[in-house]
Amino acid sequence: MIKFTKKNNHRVSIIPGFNLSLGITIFYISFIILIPLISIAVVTNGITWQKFTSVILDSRVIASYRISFICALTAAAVNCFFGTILAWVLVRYEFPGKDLIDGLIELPFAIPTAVAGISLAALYSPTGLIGQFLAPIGIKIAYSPIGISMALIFVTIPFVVRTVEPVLKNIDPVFEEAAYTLGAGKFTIFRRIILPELIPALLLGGGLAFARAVGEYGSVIFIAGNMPFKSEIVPLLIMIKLQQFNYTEATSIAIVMLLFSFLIMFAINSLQIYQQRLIRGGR
Amino acid sequence: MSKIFSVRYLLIGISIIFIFIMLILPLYVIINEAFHNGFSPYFNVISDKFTLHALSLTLLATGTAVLCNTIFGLFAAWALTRFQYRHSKLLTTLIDIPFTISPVIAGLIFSLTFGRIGWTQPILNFFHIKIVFAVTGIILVTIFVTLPFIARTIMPVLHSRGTQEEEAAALMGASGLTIFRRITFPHIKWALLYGIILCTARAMGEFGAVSVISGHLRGKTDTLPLLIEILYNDFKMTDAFAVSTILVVLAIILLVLKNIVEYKWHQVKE
Amino acid sequence: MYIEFRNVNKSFGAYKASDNVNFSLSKGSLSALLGPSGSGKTTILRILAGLETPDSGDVFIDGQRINDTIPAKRGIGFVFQNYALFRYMTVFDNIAFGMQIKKFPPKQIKQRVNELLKLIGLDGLGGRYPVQLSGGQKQRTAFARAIAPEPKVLLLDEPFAAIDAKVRHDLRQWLKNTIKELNITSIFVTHDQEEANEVADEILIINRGKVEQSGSPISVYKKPATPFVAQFIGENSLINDYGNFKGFQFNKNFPAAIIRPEFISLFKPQEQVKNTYSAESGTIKAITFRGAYLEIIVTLNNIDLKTIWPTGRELLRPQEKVIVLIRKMYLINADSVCEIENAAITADNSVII
Repeated sequence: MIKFTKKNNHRVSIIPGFNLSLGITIFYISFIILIPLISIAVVTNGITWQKFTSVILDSRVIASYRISFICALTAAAVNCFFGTILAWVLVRYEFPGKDLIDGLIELPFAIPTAVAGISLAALYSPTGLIGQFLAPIGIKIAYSPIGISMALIFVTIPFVVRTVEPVLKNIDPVFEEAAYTLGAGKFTIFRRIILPELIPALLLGGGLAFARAVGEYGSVIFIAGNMPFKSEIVPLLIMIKLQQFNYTEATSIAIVMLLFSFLIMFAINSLQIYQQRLIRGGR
Repeated sequence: MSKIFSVRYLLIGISIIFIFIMLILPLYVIINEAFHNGFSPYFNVISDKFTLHALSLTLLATGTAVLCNTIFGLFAAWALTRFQYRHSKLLTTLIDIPFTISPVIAGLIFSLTFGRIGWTQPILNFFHIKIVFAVTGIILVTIFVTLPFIARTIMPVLHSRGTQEEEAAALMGASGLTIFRRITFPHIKWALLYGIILCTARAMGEFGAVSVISGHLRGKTDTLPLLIEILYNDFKMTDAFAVSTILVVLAIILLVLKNIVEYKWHQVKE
Repeated sequence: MYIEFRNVNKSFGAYKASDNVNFSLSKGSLSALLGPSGSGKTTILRILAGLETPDSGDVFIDGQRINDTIPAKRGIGFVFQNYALFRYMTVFDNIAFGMQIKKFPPKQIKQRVNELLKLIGLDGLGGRYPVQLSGGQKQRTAFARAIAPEPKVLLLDEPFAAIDAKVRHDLRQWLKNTIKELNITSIFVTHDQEEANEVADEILIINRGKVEQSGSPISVYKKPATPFVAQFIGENSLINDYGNFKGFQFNKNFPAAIIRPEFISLFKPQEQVKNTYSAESGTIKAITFRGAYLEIIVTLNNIDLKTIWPTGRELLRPQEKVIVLIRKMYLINADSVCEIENAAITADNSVII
C-alpha cells in the first residue's frame, strides 16, 4: 500500500491545503484514469494465455503493427528533418511572414483530427488538388501507407519544432564564433558544434511525435483506405473488433499497444529530465 | 558572403513551401470543398438541426471537460508543487498517462468499465445511469483525453518559482484561499489560460475516443467530428466539409488566442 | 527570559540539525546566530518561526510554550534570505499584506504603511513593484513587511547575503539602528563573523547543531569557551609544534595551539625590545596591503604565523629579518581550551623588577 505521507525528514510545509488538494488529485486520477485502466485487467482475467497469443500474433494483427510502426517512424523522421529547418529559420532569421509561420505551427493541434483527415484525403486522392498531378506519374498517396505517413506528419509537426527551438535559442554564439575563428565552414559548424547539442532535443521531439503518431486514429482512417495487410493501422483494428463486439480480441491488441506506449513514455521521461538540464544550462 | 545568403534563402524557402503544402493547402481544401455547391447549400448544411445538435453536444462536452480539468489542474498543481512528499513523482507520471495512450484505447477502457460487459454494470443499472452510448460517456472520455493539459502547463511555472512567497504569506496568517488568490494566481494566470486553450482545442476535436463510446446515434450522441465522419462515409463530401468549417473557425480563433496569450505571457516573463 | 529553547532536538534523517539546543535571550535584544554553513543555525530560526517542528524539546516566547501554536499566531516577523517579496504586488501592498490579513482597519493600514515607507527611505516609491527595486531597497521592503503587523519577535535569515558589498555596510548600520529604535527583540542568522560582531549585542556560535558559546561579541572573542570557537572566531594560525617557541612548553594533553594576530608583536632588528629573552628571530614571508594595516605572514621555526603591522610604521619588505614576540596562545584539544601566557615574559618581567 502506498502511503502519501509528507517526508518527515523534510520540511513540514506551513502552506495550507495539503490534504484537500492531494485528496482531490488522488480521487480524480483514480476515477478518471486508474479505474478504467484497471478494467483491462478485469477483462484480461477471462482470457487464456493461448487465446491472447493467438490474437496478438495473428498475421493481420502483425501486419497492422508493422504498418503503424513504420508509418509513425517515417513521420517522426520527416518531422525531425523539416522541424529542425523550421526551428532554425524561426530562431536565426528575420523575414516577412515569419510571425505568421510561427503562429501556424500549432495549427495541427488546433484542427480536429477528423477535419484534417478528410481534408488530406481530398487533397491527395487521385482527383484531388495534389493527387491529380501525382496519379499520372504513378504515385499513389491516398489509400496507401504513404497517405498514412502524410496524415501522421501533419498531426505531429509541432513536436520537433517546439522542442528544438528553445535549445537552439540557448546555444551560446560564442561556440560558433570560436569555431569560425578556427576556420570552420558554416556546414562544419552546424554538423560539429550545433547538431550534437540538438540531438537530445531531436530525440525528445521525435519521440513525442512518434508516441502520438502510433496511437493516432482520426486523421488516418480517411486517407488510409484501411485495407487489411496493406493500410490498416492498429487503432483501426481495435475499432473494428469493437464494432463486432469482440471485446477480448480488442483488449488483447490494446494491451500490446499499451505496453508499447508505456515503454515510449518511460524513454521520453528519461530524455526530458536530461533535456531540462541542458536548457537550464547545467552540464 | 553570397554563399551564406543562398543557404539562408534556401532554408527559408524550404520552410515556406513545407508550411504551405502541409498546413495552408489542407485549410484551403476545406473551404474550397465546403463551398463547392455555392453559398446557400452551405448555409443549409450548417444550420441543419443535426449539425446544430452536434455543435451543442461538442460545446457541452468541451465546456464540461475544460471546467473539470481546470479545477483538477489547479488542485493537482498545488498538491504536486507546493509540498514535498514521497510518490509525488508517481502522481505526476499518472497524470501523463492520457497523453501516451491512443484515443481508441481510451475509448476502449471506458467501454470495458461502463459498457454492457463492464464490471460496473450492476451498479449503473441500479441507479439507472447510462454512460456508454450516451452523452455522459462522451463527456467522460473527453475529460480523460484532455486531463493532463492544464495541470501540466501550470506545474512547471509553479515549480520553477519555489514556495517562499506562499510560506511568507502563510507565516503572516493568510488562509489558503487568500494565498492562492493574491500570491499564486497572478503567477499562473497566463499559464492557466494557455492550458485552457490547449485543452479546449483538444476536447473540441477529440474523435477516436468519442467514436468508440458514442455509438453514433445521429441526433443524439454525435459530436461535430463524428457527424463529419458520418457525412463523409455517406459520400456527402460537401456537407462534411461544410460542417468542418465550423470547427476550423473555432480552431483558428483558439490559435489566435493562443498566440496572444503566449505573447502576453512572454512579456510578463521579461 | 523572552525567548527560550529547552533541550530542542531536530534530525533530518541521519543528520542532527539541532542537538539538544538550549539558550535564552532577553527582551529587546538583538542577537546573531553565527556558524559555518550547514551548522544548523537556520534550523533554529525556522523552528522558532514554526517553519520546522522540533522532534523534542520546548520553545518559549514571552513565557509561553509555543510548540503547538501555529506559525501565524506566534507573533513573529520573518525576513527571508531572498526576501520572498510578493512579485505581483506593489511595495505598498507587500507591506500592507500582513495587516490586511490581521484585519487592521484600512485607514490605520494606510497610515502605518506610509510611516514604514518613510522609515525605510522608500517614501513615494510605494507604487513600485519588487522587480523595480535595488537589492538594498528590496531588503528594506522585506524588513518593513515583516515588522508592519507589529510582531513580538523579528527573525532575519541571512539578511545581507544577497546584497553587494558596498551597500551591505550601510545597510547593517541602518538595520541595527532601526531595530534598536523600534526596540523589537530580533534574531538574525549569518555566517559572517564581521557582520555578527558589528550588528549583534549577543552572538550564539552554532556548530553541528549545538550552541557552542553565547555572549557579547567581545567576550566571545576574548574568552573562547570551546576549541571550535577558538578556531572559528578571528583570523588565526593553527599550529602543532608550539613547544618549539620560546617561552612555551608542549603539553601532551593539548595537541594543538591557536595564535591570534594580536598575540604576536614584531620588531625591526634595530628596535629596542623590552622582553629580549623571550623574543626570537623570524623572516617575513608575505605581505598583503589592507589599508590601515599590513597583513603579515612571518616564518618562525619553519612555522607560518599570521599577524599585522600598522601601515603608519616603517614598512616591512619580504624576506626581511624581524624579531618576533609571542605573548600568548590558546591550547586546544578535542573538547577544551586553555589560555597560556609566554612563560619567558613573566620571568623576564620579574627579573627586571
